[in-house]
Amino acid sequence: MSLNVVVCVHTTNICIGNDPIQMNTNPIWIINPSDRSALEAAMNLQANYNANITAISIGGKDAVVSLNYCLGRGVNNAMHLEYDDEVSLDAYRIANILANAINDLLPDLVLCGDHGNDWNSSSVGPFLAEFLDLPQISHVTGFEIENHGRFLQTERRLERGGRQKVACNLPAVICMTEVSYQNTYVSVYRLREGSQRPREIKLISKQDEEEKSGVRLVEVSPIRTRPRRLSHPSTGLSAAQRMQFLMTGGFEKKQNVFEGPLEEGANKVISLLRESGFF
Amino acid sequence: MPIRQDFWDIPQPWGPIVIYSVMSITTIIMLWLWFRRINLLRYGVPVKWKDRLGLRFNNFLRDGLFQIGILRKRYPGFMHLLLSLSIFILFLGTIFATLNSHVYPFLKGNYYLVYKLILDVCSVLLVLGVGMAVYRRFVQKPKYLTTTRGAIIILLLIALIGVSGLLVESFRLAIQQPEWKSWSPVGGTLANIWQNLEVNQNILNNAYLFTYGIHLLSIVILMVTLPTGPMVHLLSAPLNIFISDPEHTMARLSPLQSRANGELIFSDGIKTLTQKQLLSALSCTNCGRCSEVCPAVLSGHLLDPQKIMLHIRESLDDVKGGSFSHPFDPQMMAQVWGCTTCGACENICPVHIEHLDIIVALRRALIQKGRINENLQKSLENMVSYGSSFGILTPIYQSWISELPFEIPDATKSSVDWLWFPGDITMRSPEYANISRMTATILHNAKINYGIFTNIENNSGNDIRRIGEEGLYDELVQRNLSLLQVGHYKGIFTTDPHTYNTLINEYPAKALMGKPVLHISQLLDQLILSNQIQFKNALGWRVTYHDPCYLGRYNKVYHPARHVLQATGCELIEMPRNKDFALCCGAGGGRFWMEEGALTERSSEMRLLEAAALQSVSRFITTCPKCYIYFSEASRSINLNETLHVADLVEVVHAAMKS
Repeated sequence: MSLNVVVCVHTTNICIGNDPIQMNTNPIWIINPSDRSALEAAMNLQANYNANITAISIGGKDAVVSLNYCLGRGVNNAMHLEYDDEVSLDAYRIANILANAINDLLPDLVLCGDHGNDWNSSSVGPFLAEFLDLPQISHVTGFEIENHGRFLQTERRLERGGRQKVACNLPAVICMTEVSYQNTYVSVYRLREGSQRPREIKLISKQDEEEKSGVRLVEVSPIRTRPRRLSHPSTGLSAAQRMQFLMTGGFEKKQNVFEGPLEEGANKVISLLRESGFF
Repeated sequence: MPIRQDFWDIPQPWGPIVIYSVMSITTIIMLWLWFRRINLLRYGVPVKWKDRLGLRFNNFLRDGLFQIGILRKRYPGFMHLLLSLSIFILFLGTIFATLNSHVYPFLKGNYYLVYKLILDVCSVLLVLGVGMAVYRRFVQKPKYLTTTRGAIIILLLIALIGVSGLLVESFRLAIQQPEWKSWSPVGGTLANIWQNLEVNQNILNNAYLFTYGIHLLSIVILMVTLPTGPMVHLLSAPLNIFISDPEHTMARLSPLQSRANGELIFSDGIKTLTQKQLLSALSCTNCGRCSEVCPAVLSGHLLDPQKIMLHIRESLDDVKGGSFSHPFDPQMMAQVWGCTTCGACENICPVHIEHLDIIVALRRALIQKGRINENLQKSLENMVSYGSSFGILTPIYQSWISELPFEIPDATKSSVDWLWFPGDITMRSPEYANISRMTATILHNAKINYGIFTNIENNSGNDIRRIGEEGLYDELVQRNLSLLQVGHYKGIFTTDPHTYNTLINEYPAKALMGKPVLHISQLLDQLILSNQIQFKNALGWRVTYHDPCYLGRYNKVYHPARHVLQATGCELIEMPRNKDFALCCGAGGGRFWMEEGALTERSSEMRLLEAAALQSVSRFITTCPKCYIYFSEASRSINLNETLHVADLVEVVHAAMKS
C-alpha cells in the first residue's frame, strides 16, 4: 500500500506581553498547533505505511516557518504557495488556492488542522473538501486506514468527552484536533536541516486568485487607533473599585488620540516626551 | 653460593620444551585476543591522542601505575593495589628469570636472595589481596558491586597462582634444604613444616611436580582469560587514562562530533561513539563506585552509569564481522534521562571514564529523533520561541523587580560595574522571587553599582546543553552574546551556578572580553572582605551547607560560601557528604523540567535527612536557585520545614545585615 498524503499547514503568531506595539513588531511565528497534529498524523502514516508526505502552505515569509518545521520533521516534499497578502484571505479563498494546488497532486488523503489559532474559522477543511469533491470529517482525534488504503475509519471527539466513530472511503479530507497526537520534538539542528532542504515554490498572483475564487478585494482601510484597555485591575485601587473594574470589563485608560497632519503629530510626540522627562 | 637453578627437577629435555611451547602458544593466543578486543575500537569515531604527551604520561603514572584514583576509597583501593602490584612484580620476576636463563646469569649470590625474598613476599601479598577481595565480595557485599561468574573465576585463578607458587617453593626448599631458605620466609616456613611432619622425599617430589603443573596451568588459563573477561581493564584502563584529554573537565562538555564531510554524528550506536568512549566502556572495572554515588541510582531511577558502560561494552563485543548497524537498546537509551549531570560518577571513577560526555552524547541522539518526554518538550519549545523555559511572559515576570523600593539600572542603557546575569529561574520562578529581591536589596544597600537586562531573561543554556539540545544551546549562546556585547559593565555576576558554569567554561572567552564572571557567593565574599558589606551582630545560627554540583564539584568553588557563613557568625557543621562528594538535589541536567517518574526516594529528601541527622542544625544553606526550590519542596514533603529551614546564602547575609 503506497499512500500519497498532503498535509496543509499554516503559520500563526504569538506575541510577547499585551503591548500592542510589541505585538506588531516582535511576533513569534509558530506552526498552527492543530496543523502540527495533522503533521504528526501524516508522519505516523509515513512510518507505518511508507506514505509519501507533501506539506503545503500559503503565505509570504511566514509560511516558510511552517514548511521548515515540516521538512525538519521529515516530510518528503514541501510546497510553498507564495501569496504576499495572505492575511487578507478568508477561509473560502485559502481553501480555493489550496484545492487548485492539491488537485494536481492526486492525494489519497488530505490532512488539515481543525482550526487556526488566529481566525479560528474551522472552515478551511470543509471548503477544501468541497472544492476537491471529497468526503470530509472534522474534529478527528485518531484514524485507521483499512482495506488496502481504500477505507478510512476515524474517531471524532464530541462535546463533554463523547466519542464517535465515522468512516468514509479514500481519498478524503480530515481535520485533526490539536490534542490528537503527542508531538515529536523537532530539534534546532533538524529545523536548520529543514530550512536547507528544497521546496517547490508556486507564485500565486492576486489576479489569478481573484479570478478563480470569484471574490475580489475592493478597499482596505487603515487600522483604527483605539484607546488601550487594561486587562488587570491596578493594585492601587480600592476593593470596591476593583470590583467595579471587573464588572465593567475594565476602565479605559485615558489616552490622547491625535488625528491631523504628520508634522503637527511629530511636534506633539516631542512635547509629550519632554513632559514625561525623556529629554 | 646461592644461585637460581632453571627447571629444577623438571624432566629433561622434554620438560622445558613442553613448558616453553605451551607458554609461547598461550602468549600468542593472549596477544591475539588482546589485539582482537582492542581493535574493536576502530569502529569508533577517531580522537586525537598524540598531543600533550607529557601530561598524558603524567596521568598514566598517577592513576594508571600508582592508582591514586583507586586509593580514594581505602579498603578496595588497598586491596587493588596489593593485587596489581604483586602481579606486576611477579610478572617482572618471571621476565628476570627468563633473562637469567637465556641472556645473562645475574641471579646469583645476594641478588638472588633479594630476588627470592621479594617474590616470596609478593606471593603472600597476592594471596592476601585475593583474601581481601573475597571478604569484600562475599562478606561485606557492597550493594553496587556485581559479582559475576567471570570475576569469581579470575579470583580463583589468581589465588591458585599465588598459593601454588608458594607451595612449589616450599617443596623445593624441603627437598634441597639450602642454607639460605630463610630468605623465602613463607616458602621456608612451609618447608620446615613438611620437614617436621617427616613427609617422604618421593611425596615431596611428586607434590612439587603436581603443584608446578597447577601453577603453570593457572597461569595459562589466566592469560587467555584476561583479554576476554572482565580483566580486560588491565590493559584498557591504563590506555584509557593515557588517551583521556589531560585538560578534560566535566564543566566543559565535548562538542558534537562531525565527520570529515561536515555531517554531524549523533551517538545511537557503537559506530557513532568516539574511540575514547568505546575504550572507556572496555575500561570499566565494574567496581560500582559510580553507581554508589549516583543520585539517580539512589533515588530508584532506571539509570545506572555502570550499566550504561557495560551495555556499550556488550554491544561492542557483539560486533561480529562488522555487523553492528543496530542502534543501542531503546530501553537503555531512555535511561539517560534520569541523569542529573551532577558529575559524581565521573568524579569518583578511578579509570578516567567520562560518563557525562557519553550520557549527553546519547541524549543528543534522542533529541535528534524527537524522543523526549512531554514536559521537557514544552520547556524546550518555550526556549526555542522565547528564550525562557517558562514560556510567554506574564505579569509574574516583573513582580519581584517592580516591588523593589529602588530601581535596578538597565545595563543596556546605563554604565554599571556589575551586570547581574540571573538566568530564567532566578527571574521567573515565584519560589525564588523572594531571594532575588533580597539579592537586589543587599547589593543596593552595599552601594554596588550593578545593573540587569530588565527586559531579557534568556536561559544561559547550561542545562539545555546537558539535555543534549546542542543546536538550541548554540542559539541561546548567540542571543546572549549579542546582548552581552551591547551592555555597559565591567564584570558579570550570577546567582545561578549552572549559568556560572557555562559562562566561564563554555562561552567563548573572547566574547566576554576578559571581564570577570563571579557567582554571587564569590561576590559576597569579596564585598565582605573589602568591608563593603558589614555585620554588626553575629547571627549565631548552627547551619549546614550544601555544595551545589555546578559550583563545587564542577568548578571547585567551595570556600567563598563557607567564608560568608563564617562572617555572618554562623556555626557551620559539615554533612558527611560534602564538597566533592556532595549529593545532588536532583534538579540538574534538565531534570528540573522533566517529570519525576517512579522513584523510591528523592535525592533531595535523602540529602535533607542527612542534614537533619546532624546535631541541632537549624538551617540548611545552599546557593543555587534549583537546589533551593528542590530542597524547599522536599522539606515540605518530609515535614522537615519546621525543624530544618532551607535557606539561600543570600537569605543569611540579608538577615545578618538586618541584625
